This record gives sequence, C-alpha cells and structure tokens, in this order.
Amino acid sequence: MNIGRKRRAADPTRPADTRCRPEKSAAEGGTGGSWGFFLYRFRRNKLAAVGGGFLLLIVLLGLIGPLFTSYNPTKPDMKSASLAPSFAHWMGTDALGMDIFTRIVYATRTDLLIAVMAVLGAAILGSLYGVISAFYGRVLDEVMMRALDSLQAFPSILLGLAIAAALGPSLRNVIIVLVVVNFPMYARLVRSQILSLKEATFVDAARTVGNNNARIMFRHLLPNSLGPVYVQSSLNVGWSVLMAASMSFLGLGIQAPEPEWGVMISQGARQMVQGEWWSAFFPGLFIFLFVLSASLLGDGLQDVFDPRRR
Amino acid sequence: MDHEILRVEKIRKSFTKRVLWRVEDVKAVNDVSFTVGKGTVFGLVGESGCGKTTTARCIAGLERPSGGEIIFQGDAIGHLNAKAFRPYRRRLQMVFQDPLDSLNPRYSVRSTIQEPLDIHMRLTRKDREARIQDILKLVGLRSELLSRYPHQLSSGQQQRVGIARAIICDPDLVLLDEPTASLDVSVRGRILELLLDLQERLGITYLLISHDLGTVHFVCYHTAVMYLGFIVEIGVTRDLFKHPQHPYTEALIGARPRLRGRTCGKERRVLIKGEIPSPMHLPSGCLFHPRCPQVMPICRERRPELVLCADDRMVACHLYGTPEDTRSVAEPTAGGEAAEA
Repeated sequence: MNIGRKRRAADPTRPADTRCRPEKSAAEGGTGGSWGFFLYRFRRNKLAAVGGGFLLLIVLLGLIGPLFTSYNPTKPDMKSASLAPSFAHWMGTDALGMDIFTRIVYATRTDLLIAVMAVLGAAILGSLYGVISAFYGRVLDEVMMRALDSLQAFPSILLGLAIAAALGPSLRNVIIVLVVVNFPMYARLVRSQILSLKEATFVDAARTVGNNNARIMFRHLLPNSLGPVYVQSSLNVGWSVLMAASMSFLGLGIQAPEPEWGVMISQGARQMVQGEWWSAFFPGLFIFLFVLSASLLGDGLQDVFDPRRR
Repeated sequence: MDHEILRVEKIRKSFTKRVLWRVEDVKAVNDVSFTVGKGTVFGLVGESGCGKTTTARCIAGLERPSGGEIIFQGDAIGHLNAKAFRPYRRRLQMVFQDPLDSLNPRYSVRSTIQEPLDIHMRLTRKDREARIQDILKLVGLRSELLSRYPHQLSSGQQQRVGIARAIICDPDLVLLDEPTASLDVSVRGRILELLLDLQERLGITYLLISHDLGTVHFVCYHTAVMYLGFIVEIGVTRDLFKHPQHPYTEALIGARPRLRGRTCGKERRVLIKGEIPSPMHLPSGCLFHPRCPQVMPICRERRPELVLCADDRMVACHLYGTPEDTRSVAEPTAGGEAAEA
C-alpha cells in the first residue's frame, strides 16, 4: 500500500531540489535506505553550501574589508608595537606595530589573486597539455607523459623553491611556481578523460560531419571532460594558498612588508615565544578557514559532477 | 557505369593486435568489392564481427584501408589524408548505430544539427534558420526540441536528430550503420519509413549495414552477404532471398525466425554447425568450409573467387564456377543496372 509512495521518494528522475527538502521525505515515510541516502546527500550539500558561504565571506572581506579599518597595512608604528587584541586593534598588532586585522584584509586580496591566477593558469595549461597528449597519442603522448613524470618526481615544495630561487621572489613568480607545480595534475585528469571519450561514437560522428582535429579537441572532447577539472580547481584553490603561504614563510614568496598570510605567520612565529600568540594565530586561522571551505565546496561539487548521478 | 556513385575495389583492412611480444594481424575486411548505383539502397549483411562496419568506416574516412581503393563519384578517396578528405564529407554522411552515443552530450539538438551547416556552408542567419526548420520538418521533429539535450530525448528522437545531422548538407550518399538495431521494435519501423521517405524525396543513395535480414529484404535493391571479412554473395535482394546460392547465405536466410513452423517452397532450413572462426587465424581455402554442410575436398585447398553465376548475381563458392574458370574474376556489377530499376 505504501509501495508507490516509497518508490516515488527514491525516484532518481525527480529534480534534485525536491529531494533536498527534509520535511517532504520524512512525511512520505521513506524507509531507512532512501532516507539515509537522502540525509547523506543533504549533509554533503549543506557542507558544500557552508564552504561556499565562507569562501564568499572571505572574498567579500577582501573586497570591502578596507572600509572597516583606518590603519595602513604596511606602515610601522613603533608606539603601538605588539599590542594584544583590543577594541582599537581587533586582532592586535605585530612587532612593528602594524594592525593585524588590516594586514589580514589586504593579505586576503593578495592571496585570492594568487590562488585564482594560479588555479586558472594551471587548469588551462594542464587541460591543453592533457587534451593534446591524449588526442594525438602514441609517441607524443609517451614523451609528454614522461616529461610530466620527471616534473612530478621532485617534491613540489622543493621544485617551487628552486624555481622561485631562480626567478627571484615576487608575486608574479609565486604564481608561475604554482602553475608549474599544479598543472601536471590537471593534465593527467584531462588526459584520462579524453582517452576514454575519444572512443565514443560522437567523436566519429563529429569527424564525419567535417570537424577538423582542433574542433574535435576543443569543441567536442574538452567540454565533455571538464567536470572533474572544476572539482579539482576548487580543491586546488585551497592548496595553492597553502603553498603560497609556505613559500612566503620560507622567504621565497611574497616579501616582508607586503601583507600576505604566509609572511604574517612567518613574522609572527618569532613573537610566539614571548607569548604574543595573536600575530601568527589570526593569519593561520584565515588560511585554515579558507582551505577548509574551498575543500568543502570541492567535495560538494564532486557530488554534483559524479557521473553516476547524471 | 555512369550511374554508379560508389565503387569499392578490393579493399582490405587489418588491425595489428599485440599479444605480449607476438604481433597478430586481425583481418577485418578482405578484398571486398562492390558497386552502389546512384539513388538505390545497397544492403550489406552478415553476422556481427564480419567486417560490415569496418567497411563502412573505411568508406566514411574514419579508417584508412590497408589496401584497395574506394571510388566515390569518380574520385579515389580511399587513401586521402584528413584534409584532402574534407571536401567529400559534405556529400558522404553516416548514421550510426547507437543514437545516444553518437550525439555529443553537451550539444543541444540545435548545435548538433547546425554544426555541419557552419562547417560546410556559409549561410546567413536567416537562411540557416530556415534550413534548420525545414530539416526538422523533414525528419519529423518539433522545433521545441531544438534546445533539448540528447539525454532528454527518446531514442527515436535521438536517431531523428542523427539523421537530420546527416542530411542537412544535402549528401549524395548516406551510410546507415545499423540505424535501427538499438531502437525499440515499435520505433524501428517508423525510422525505417522515415529513411525511405527521405530517400525518395531527396534522391539520396543509401548503403545500409544490417544484420536484420527482414530490414534488408524490405529496403534494399541489391544486397551483399559478408562472412569473415569476405563477400560471399552479391545479388538483387529479392532473388537472393528466394534462391540463395552460397550455402552460407542459404543458412543465414534459413535462420530467420518464422511465424509459422513450416517452411514454404524450396526453402530448406540449414543449420550451421560450429563457431565462427577467429579472424586472426583464418581457415585455409574457403573460409566457410569448416561449417559448410556441402563441403568438398577442393574447399579446403582453394579460396573461391567471386564469380558471376547468374544474371546480376555473384557467388564465391566452388559449387558454382570451376576453379579453372579464371575469367571468372569478372568485374563486380551489382548495382550498376539498379538505376533503371
């Protein structure tokens, strides 16, 4: 008697938004299986939404944050050095008397710029690399993939430091380093997608209709293999910030007076022993929140792009 | 032969298969020759794996034949590179077996149908729109479907989109690779009717590849029967079905399921024994001899040529035409007279 309704609750063809309303599913009295599945999905989506929300807040902070503060992010003020958090300085000041909150706000801009440029660059370069390697196959594929292997054989932080040391520390070079370190991942991802896709009949059909190689690669194959790239990008945004911060921390990224989360931690770390926890804690907290929310969003996207759900 | 549109001359296609250190040749198509007359429907039948589809893919320029030549409207197109082949693409189209698989999942119906127009014809926006609407009407699709994506269509609609894509640039020859095999029986008939209707209206020539003898019987004027990459018999479909000459053809036709248990007339039911041999290790002599009910000693030694055995009928079998009869390597003429028919 209840079978029809149960089946409707689990019907995969229904639009996703109706499945995401908890009261409806509960009212229909779905059994453990579908209810559990539903709960699982809802929680996954909620986490993704939280991640996306946090990310948005951080971006907003970078955009309009300067309105909330009157301090200069790079001007030392020795009179107010190493102050603990207070109403005047929400997150305290560092050893040179610069307001931590102000610096974090400006650092958000730098770090977001780095993350977005690095991920965009790596994703575009990697996709091109992957699609060409997989499409032409044979010797070219072999050569291109072995080149990636040797690139990835270096520990990424070491490779990054080597490149930064060779090019000199600057914002632009940090982005270059991140692109070089990250693009092999995208290349492999796209290559594996294309390898299976290029056997599909629609590629033959596209050729029959008169498409040339370039059109087949970029209009037919690539758009069909970007789902995992989106997911990877959003996870990658977090890691990129982490890596950029590590490089700054080690002194080969953004340089000292410039506000950047890694730089701030690096400077604050020296004050930790004197009990001034705030100058390293707050930038660390921001890195943590940023990386976490990017990963949550990425996980959520993974659910959406999972081929089994399409 | 002024009316021929396509002539296939002894094309071969083999694929190399690497098993550990051994390299083995899989001979998918061997010395296949036939001629298709303009405005006719030519059928190519055989079991799965007998090389029908590979033959079609060679003609469509999706594979390069290992040998032989393909002559399309007087031009040799068998060994052209991708760029040189492109001008022929507009006139030579293909409809694929699995309609969903043959459509780009990220292309809307409109993009799919419009793409060949954008590639081959420079049309104004207005002309293009008119053309798309015309084609939709021709293949029986509502124009609301233009914004849909392949997975939102029924399989019949998907195949109609595939057909629309093939005919929008006014092709002369369309290769139909089992166009109805993966459709529901109820849809099958309507797609077939659509194809025949289009042929009549637009004067297209079809090369129909199928393992469904009923379809071929219903649609094709000439039919070639393939076995293990060889053509064993070519003839006018009606005669071929009524009086099959080659034992394989006979068996194939006899294997058709019937509504009534009894067989009528002279038709005997011959069952083939054994499995189809591996195309990596082709049997000596006649390829069919290990399974042939009428096998003779000579069959094990010599491979029979395709010989003219009756009016408009060619058979590759030692039962017809003695091996001494060397003039038997007659030019294949199947489809030549078809234009008159």
